[in-house]
Amino acid sequence: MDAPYPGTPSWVKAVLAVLALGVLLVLTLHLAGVSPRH
Amino acid sequence: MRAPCARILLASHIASSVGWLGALLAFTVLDVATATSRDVATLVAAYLAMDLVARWAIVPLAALALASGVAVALTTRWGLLRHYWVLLSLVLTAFAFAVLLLQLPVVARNAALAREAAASGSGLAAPGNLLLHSVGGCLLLGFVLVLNVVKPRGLTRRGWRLRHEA
Repeated sequence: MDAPYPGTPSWVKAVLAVLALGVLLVLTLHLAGVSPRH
Repeated sequence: MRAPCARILLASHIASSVGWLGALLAFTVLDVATATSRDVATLVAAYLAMDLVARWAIVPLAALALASGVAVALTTRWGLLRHYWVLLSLVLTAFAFAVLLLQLPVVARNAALAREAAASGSGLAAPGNLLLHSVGGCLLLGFVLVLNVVKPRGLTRRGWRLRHEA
């Protein structure tokens, strides 16, 4: 019998969580109208 | 694939990927200059240089890195969709390349404004900087570089199935 798939590794979940937070941060900055100007 | 061809492909992938990161770091230095300087000559020079670096170094290197990465993955035991580190590298690199292409018109517009200011001798209206994208791009490419060196374990569902069918 084939061994069952062990699932997504925890490091992949951690990376995806950090990326999701990054996307949320960028979206929040855009929606708040934060645009660095000199 | 024959060994010499595989080595040339891998060498071109490493060179273009590291070159992309290096060119982006140079772009970021110029971007920081546009964000911090008020000297018109510095701003004009920086915006013109950013346009040249983006068009003649970053875009060609990024395209070569992406294409050679896919070619290396498909011609080695790693495959393109078998290991999470390869899949993540592909997705993040493709995302970085797409953002790069979307930002090119902004870089070109800033350079055009700088050219006008240099020609007319007038001041340069602050067109803004791209720090979010350039710094974010450096961090993203740095992460992909680490991922490619460490090669953390983890098979995708497809990779698991292929390994157990073999």
